[in-house]
Amino acid sequence: MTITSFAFLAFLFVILVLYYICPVKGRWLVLLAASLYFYVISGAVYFIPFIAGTSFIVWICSVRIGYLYARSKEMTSIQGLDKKQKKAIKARYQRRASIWLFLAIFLCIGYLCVVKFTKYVTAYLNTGAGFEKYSAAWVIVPLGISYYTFSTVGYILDVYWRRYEYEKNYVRFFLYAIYFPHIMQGPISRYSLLGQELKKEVRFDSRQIVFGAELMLYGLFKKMVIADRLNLFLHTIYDGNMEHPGSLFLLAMICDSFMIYMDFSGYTDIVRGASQMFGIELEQNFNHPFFSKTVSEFWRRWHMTLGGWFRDYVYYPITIAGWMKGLNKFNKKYLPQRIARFITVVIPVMITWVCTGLWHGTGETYLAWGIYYGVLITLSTAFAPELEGLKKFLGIRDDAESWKWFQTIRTFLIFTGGRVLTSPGSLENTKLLFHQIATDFQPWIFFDQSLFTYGLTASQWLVILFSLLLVWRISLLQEQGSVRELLSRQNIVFRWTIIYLAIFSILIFGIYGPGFDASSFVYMQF
Amino acid sequence: MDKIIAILSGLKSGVDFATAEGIVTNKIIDSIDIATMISSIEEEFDIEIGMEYMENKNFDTVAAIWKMVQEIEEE
Repeated sequence: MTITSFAFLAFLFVILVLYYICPVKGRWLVLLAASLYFYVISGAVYFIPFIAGTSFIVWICSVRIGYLYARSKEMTSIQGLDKKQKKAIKARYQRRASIWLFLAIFLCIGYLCVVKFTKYVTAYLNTGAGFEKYSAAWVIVPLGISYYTFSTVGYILDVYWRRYEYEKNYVRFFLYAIYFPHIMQGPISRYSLLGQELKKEVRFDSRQIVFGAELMLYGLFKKMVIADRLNLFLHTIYDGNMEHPGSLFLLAMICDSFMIYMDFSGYTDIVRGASQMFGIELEQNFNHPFFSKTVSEFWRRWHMTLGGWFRDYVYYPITIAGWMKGLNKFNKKYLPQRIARFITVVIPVMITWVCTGLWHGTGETYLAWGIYYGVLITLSTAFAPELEGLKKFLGIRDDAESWKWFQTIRTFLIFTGGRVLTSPGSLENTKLLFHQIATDFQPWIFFDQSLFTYGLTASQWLVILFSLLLVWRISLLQEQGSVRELLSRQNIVFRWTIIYLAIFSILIFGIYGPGFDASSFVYMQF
Repeated sequence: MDKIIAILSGLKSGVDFATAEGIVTNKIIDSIDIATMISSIEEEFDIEIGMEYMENKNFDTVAAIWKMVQEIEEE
């Protein structure tokens, strides 16, 4: 069952009715049952024992860590101990806790690595054998494995780092792990936020139902009217044939950036809206990334929960790791200040971005993608003084509108450059794509009607253009405040006209039907 | 606290860090600046900042950073 299907809407409606007729204290159990049922009807029954087993082990590890910390506190509060003795006791318990942490992380990340890398390992082992000696078919890929892994690893690390207490009730933790709106494609929810949300005693509030439904409608519009329509064109261009005119590839590159944003942010809006109807807030995952002026800002606005996860659980631990501090001290002592600072930045940034790339995919394209962003961010930091000097030399003012537009377009093009490393399927194809742009551009296809033979008619392109302008206008309004709040303050006729227009535009302009796999959200593969 | 203000001012000019709030939450400084700031604070106060302190609330104001430094010194 996909979240853009009528079956999902019907499922949601039934669950909402059951949720609100159930006594307040038992409502979280309705969500648990609904989440289990969601996996059953999504054809992922096998996922339930996997997630139940692994989440139970992670939970047990967190309980043990919590117990060891409590013992540590008890032991250090004994009177008569000096500071050194207390430190030694604390360190002893911390070491024991780290064993439980290691066990949980080994289990979660280990299985994620098995899922992601087995096909490459078996392919390597089969090289030269002439037949399939080793097979990767035995690897079960549970639905949303990457998102589930990151959520649970985040939980156990936060407990280990004493950011919050472990969850005392396993069933509640199980609900956090399996909660159906967030598990397939994020947002990667922190236990400190979603865990608390799921504990709330939610009362019926028509306003949150309406707000949730409006957000879902907006998400469906972005996904079904724009992303799926753009995909009709993109599937025609990125079909393995790298001999299309260069101008088409250039257009595809730009369309691909809009498609992925509409697809992924549309998905997030749908699940956040669905969750809001249950009174459960999921974290924001997108904050108008195409308005960003720098690459760093872009990644603070795009897939925010993934960026935040890598920052908190990969980048910061590397930054403050003993070996990194030792290296920094050494560099400060023996190297010029600027080079020392460069090394301080480059190592954690590059490791974090290579890991982010590998999270998306294990092939060469995603490795290149990770290195691309790592190098860009490192260079922009390392050469910040020179760039600032150049700006002054050219007399560019930060508040000039033209400069702001330049920065925004530049950031969009950098993002597009990153997408083109992965979308054509291989680095070889990326090379061929740029070769076509440089040697066989054929700009006349935009004027001789032949553009309209690549999956989309002229009217389809107009629908896309108009829809993108609409999303842009709504995004500008959202930058100033909540559009749904604004809409709720309008009179009933205007409000419902807008809602009906949204519904009918999805029904009329949405992409459905045989031959088109509207179900596939791009980020679901991760 | 003056030492902390001096470290922060070295990272970003034009900000009155003495009164600034949400230094990390409001992205006044980014994660790369935070890495540099931690290294400078550790050196200045001869302390080690552990992962348990790596939360926005400990870096959002100069007073919060100072409180964290004192807590680590007392440990």
